[in-house]
Amino acid sequence: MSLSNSEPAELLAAPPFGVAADDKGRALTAALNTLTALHRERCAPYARALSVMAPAAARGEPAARCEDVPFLPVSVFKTHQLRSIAESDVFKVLTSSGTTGQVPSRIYLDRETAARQTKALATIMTAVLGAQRLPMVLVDTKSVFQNRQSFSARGAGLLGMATFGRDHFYALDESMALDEPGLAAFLEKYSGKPLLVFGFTFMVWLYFLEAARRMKADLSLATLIHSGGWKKLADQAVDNARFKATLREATGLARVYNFYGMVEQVGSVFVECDAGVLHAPSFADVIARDVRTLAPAPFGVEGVLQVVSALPTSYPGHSLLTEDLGTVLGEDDCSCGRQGKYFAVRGRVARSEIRGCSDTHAPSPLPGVVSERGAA
Amino acid sequence: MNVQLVVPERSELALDELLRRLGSATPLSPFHPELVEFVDALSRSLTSGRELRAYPEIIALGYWARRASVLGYQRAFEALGSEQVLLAPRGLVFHVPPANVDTIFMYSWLLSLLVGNVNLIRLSARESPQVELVCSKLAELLAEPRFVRVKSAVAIVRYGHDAAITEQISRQVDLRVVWGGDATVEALSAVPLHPAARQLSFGDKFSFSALSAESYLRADADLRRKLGERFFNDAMWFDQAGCSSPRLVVWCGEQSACERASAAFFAELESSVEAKHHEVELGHAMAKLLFTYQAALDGRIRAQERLSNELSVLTVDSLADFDRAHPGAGLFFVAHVRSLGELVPFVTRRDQTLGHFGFSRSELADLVGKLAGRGLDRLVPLGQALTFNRFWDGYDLLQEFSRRVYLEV
Repeated sequence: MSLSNSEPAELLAAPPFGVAADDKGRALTAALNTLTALHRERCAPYARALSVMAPAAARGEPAARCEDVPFLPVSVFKTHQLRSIAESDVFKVLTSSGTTGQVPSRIYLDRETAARQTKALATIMTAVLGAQRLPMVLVDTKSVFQNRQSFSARGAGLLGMATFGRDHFYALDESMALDEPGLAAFLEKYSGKPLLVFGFTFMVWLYFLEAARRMKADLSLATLIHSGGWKKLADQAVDNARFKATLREATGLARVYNFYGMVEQVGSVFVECDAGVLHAPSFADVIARDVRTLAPAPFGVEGVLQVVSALPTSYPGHSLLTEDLGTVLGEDDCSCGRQGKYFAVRGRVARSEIRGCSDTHAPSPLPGVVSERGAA
Repeated sequence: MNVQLVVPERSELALDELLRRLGSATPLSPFHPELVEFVDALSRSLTSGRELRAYPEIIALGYWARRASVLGYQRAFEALGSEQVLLAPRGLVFHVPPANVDTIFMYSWLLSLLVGNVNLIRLSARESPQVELVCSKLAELLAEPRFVRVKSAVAIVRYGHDAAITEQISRQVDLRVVWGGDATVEALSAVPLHPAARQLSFGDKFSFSALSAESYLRADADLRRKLGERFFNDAMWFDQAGCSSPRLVVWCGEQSACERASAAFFAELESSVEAKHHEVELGHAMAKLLFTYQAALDGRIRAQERLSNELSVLTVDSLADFDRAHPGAGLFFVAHVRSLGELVPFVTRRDQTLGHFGFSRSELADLVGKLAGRGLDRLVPLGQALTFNRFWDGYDLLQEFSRRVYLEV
């Protein structure tokens, strides 16, 4: 299908994995240019940053390609409150749930952007799971919702995903132990029926997997969607392949789809396909940038990932340089049949230690990078 | 209470035993031949050897410790005394280097050793290849019989966050030398010393360079290339995080001359970066990029140029609100003033080293006079920012490491 309009709504209405490269590039670039202009007008710090970092964009010159749209490093949302709406129009503030002592990102959504976020997730999940809502196991604890002051990425992710299932069962108690009788009863009730399981990658691995193996839970008819990144599992040398193989062997779970995204970018919802790679939907995209020059890297060459999305109008987050390393593998020709770019994420850029005379004033190079990459 | 002894040999040792050992060390007079021999041997050991090639800062330390320089220090030390003033060691000196030390702390305790002190050095728990290498070289030398008395006067230790150990050591030493950030200095200062003891503190510092645009533009290609190399050595060692590493370049002169000079200067620096195959880790490059965007969002910079992962140049309109925050690893602020005198209101106590090019002695002395001790402890030619000598942070270390004994007949 072809696209002409640069409105976010138009891109959202298109099939998420059914727009060919040329059409997508044109439409997405136009949408991103519109967003750059909009945020430049409405967000003074963003306009200041553009004037220094991207003078052409600051003068209003449109980018010719997605790759030319100026970006912000994702961590600026930890130190700067950036929004393009009046304070009174803030409908929801998303925060990344960093570890203790880390400053979380703060992402300001108005009703429109929040609605687009919901729509984007629904579009993608419907494409992955089908339209029918399945009985759902959430590998988490209900207590994550106790603090309703702000939406942590984890809480927001759970709530966002919960809408794609029904008869929700929270599998962990407050101490992160598996509720074995509860899970057994749930599996008994839906015996022989397809299920949806959702959880954060590290929680599935650390709190669910072994307990499920012990109780011989049969999840062979389930689909697992998981997200949150591999950082916490890197110590145990757990990568995607090992994660999937272990789950399959322990519980029979065969349909396991990783989900890459970040609270800082509404619309960046990248889900793994049956070929085991992540896919960009029509309203978002991914660019790998050369680790030395930051120029766009060719397909197959690892780089720092930049993500772009046509959806954020309430804050200048439409083009972000992440702190993740990954490889764009190709476009429109994945064996799974989906159109759009497909890619793999390897992990975070390693923090580098500054040596020197002073042990206190050298700032840590990547402050607060532990944002949960939640299904926000 | 035990500590891990690293030098002279690796072992675990009771603190009491260590302090007893150090207390019974045979005192050596200032610049005793065995001390001079030892430092000379260390110099040789740190300037030869394949494994050292990756660490130019260790080779620089070795070069600094060479015999000629030690003898120079000896003459300077002797000149501090007189008929009526005799110099004596302070006794037991406790050195606390910063957490991520490389080799900077070595200079100060070697001077302390040369003037005859017994030295206890506490390394941070974190190990670095540079520190391990230097320690193994030290241990090798101290195992030689000819340095048996030096061996009894040195202990390099590690211990965890045990305040009781620091307290006990502090009660027994005559001088405590604390490197590190302000927070470390404050934390250590809270630990009581013996009433007769004192402390030398090396807190947070900021360093920058000032160049005359006119002089730079007059320089020929050869001198410009040399200046690029010298500034490379000033700025790129220690990830630009040394207390003396320049982080700001101030150009003096007419605006257009400053702009031309600055562009040429950083192009030369980038050439040096490439010629020396200097590379920063991606994490550092990303941290600098983040820092640059944060500065741009705040409106703290007018322009930026990212010449490479290794080199970013951020231009500020004025030094009035310059806050000295800096990520290290090859990021330079650039500012423009019409004359050196404009730096007077900018300089604070935190400012340590000014690397200079193109100014006369009287211009620099005039700046020092106007500052009236408010800041700047060292003004050195471009290329000498990291060259350690006895005058550091406003101290004369030869003097600080010794007592003045008055003798009247």
